[in-house]
Amino acid sequence: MNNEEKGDSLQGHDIPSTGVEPEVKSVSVKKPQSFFGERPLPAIEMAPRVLRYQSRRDFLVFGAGALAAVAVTGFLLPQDTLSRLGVRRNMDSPGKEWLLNKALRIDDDVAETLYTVNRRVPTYTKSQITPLKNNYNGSTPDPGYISGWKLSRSGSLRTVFGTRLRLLFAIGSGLQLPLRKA
Amino acid sequence: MSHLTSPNCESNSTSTFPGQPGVLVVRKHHFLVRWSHWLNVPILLGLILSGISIYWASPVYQHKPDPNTGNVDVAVDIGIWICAHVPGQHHYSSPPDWIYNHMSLGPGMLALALRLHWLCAYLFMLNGVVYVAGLVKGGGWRALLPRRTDLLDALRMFRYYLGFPFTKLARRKWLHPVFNTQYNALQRAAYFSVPVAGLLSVATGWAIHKPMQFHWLAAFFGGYNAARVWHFWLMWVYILFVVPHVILVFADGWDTLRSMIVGWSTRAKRSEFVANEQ
Repeated sequence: MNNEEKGDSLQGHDIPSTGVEPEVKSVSVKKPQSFFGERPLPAIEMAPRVLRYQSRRDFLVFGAGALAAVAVTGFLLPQDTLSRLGVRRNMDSPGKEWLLNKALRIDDDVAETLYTVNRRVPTYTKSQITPLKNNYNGSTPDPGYISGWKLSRSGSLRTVFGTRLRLLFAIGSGLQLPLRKA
Repeated sequence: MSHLTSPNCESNSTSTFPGQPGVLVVRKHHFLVRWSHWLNVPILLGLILSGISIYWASPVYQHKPDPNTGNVDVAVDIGIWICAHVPGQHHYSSPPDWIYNHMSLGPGMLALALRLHWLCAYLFMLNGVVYVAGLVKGGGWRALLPRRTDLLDALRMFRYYLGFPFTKLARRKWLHPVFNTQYNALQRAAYFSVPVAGLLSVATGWAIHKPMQFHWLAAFFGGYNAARVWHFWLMWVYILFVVPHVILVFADGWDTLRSMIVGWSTRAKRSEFVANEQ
């Protein structure tokens, strides 16, 4: 993949150690031709023990990162998906719900903060309306399908505006979920 | 390796190579580039899995309702076809959901998928900033810039890859084209286009998510529905990039894979350094 291997390569282990190990040392770098011109990769001469230590450290960090990624993925995936993958243990937690909900609504929070009564939204003519194309047979289900669903409103006009935004969003997305599961 | 030579270093060589011991290495990837590279793996996986779950709720590619099933989704057709023709899948419990059960979080999970998609999207944007910072700090961005000779060089590389399997079978030598750059033209095109695709994915994602606020952005991509099509196919850019990328990294050898973990490579040209010494 890399062109450098096609050249006259020098593998690190080809160099015999005489016991006197230098610290890291610059070897050579060509002078750049222009601002956008590619610079040659900086070459350095390293003591084998330093190189070994740094490699070991980087591999350990990489392995720890990979394990952490697997754990975080398991934590964040929906329970239904985990069950399909054979994970029986319930991984739902309040922290997970808080994080995922926050991720989805943070832009609404920002929109609320930036809301101004003078802002105008685009309007559309009836001819621009297109039929719904979804996997719910082209219709948007009524929120009443969800037992125990309720909406509470409180606070300033700005908060109510935000609630309406979220309600619209919920109707457009989350509230459709139970239909499929029923 | 923060104390190593800066990529912008223009100092004269002080090497005593090859008279003294030590391992000659080149510093290939800044640690921010390496971190963002590997972080992209789970983030993109999360984006793709949740993205296809979102796609399920309102598929981009639809046809007229099937008279028997009422199905309109092309992905459902593909799932049914797979279950009918692929060995071992004939008894799959829900053929229409095959694609969504195997390539997404699952069908009927729009709300859950949207939450995960946006969490991953914010991480993706943050990771993109880290990647660009690494490129700037390490100077690696220069190696990704397209050049005038790229078209011709790309054709040479195509010729090399096309001929490689045949010469391997015939046990003949097939010389790799020689370039004086870190990446060949095809690599450069791929490594340059992926960040661009990332930028477009983010832009189309916002256009879809906030079509009222970002109506100008949606209009830039040809409207809301067109922005969805862009967003969908940009996902395929990543998939089509990742498959040959992984294959070629393994084909290239341990040094290439290791350099993305540790940052350095032992593929240093002896002749170049000796020449620079003089």
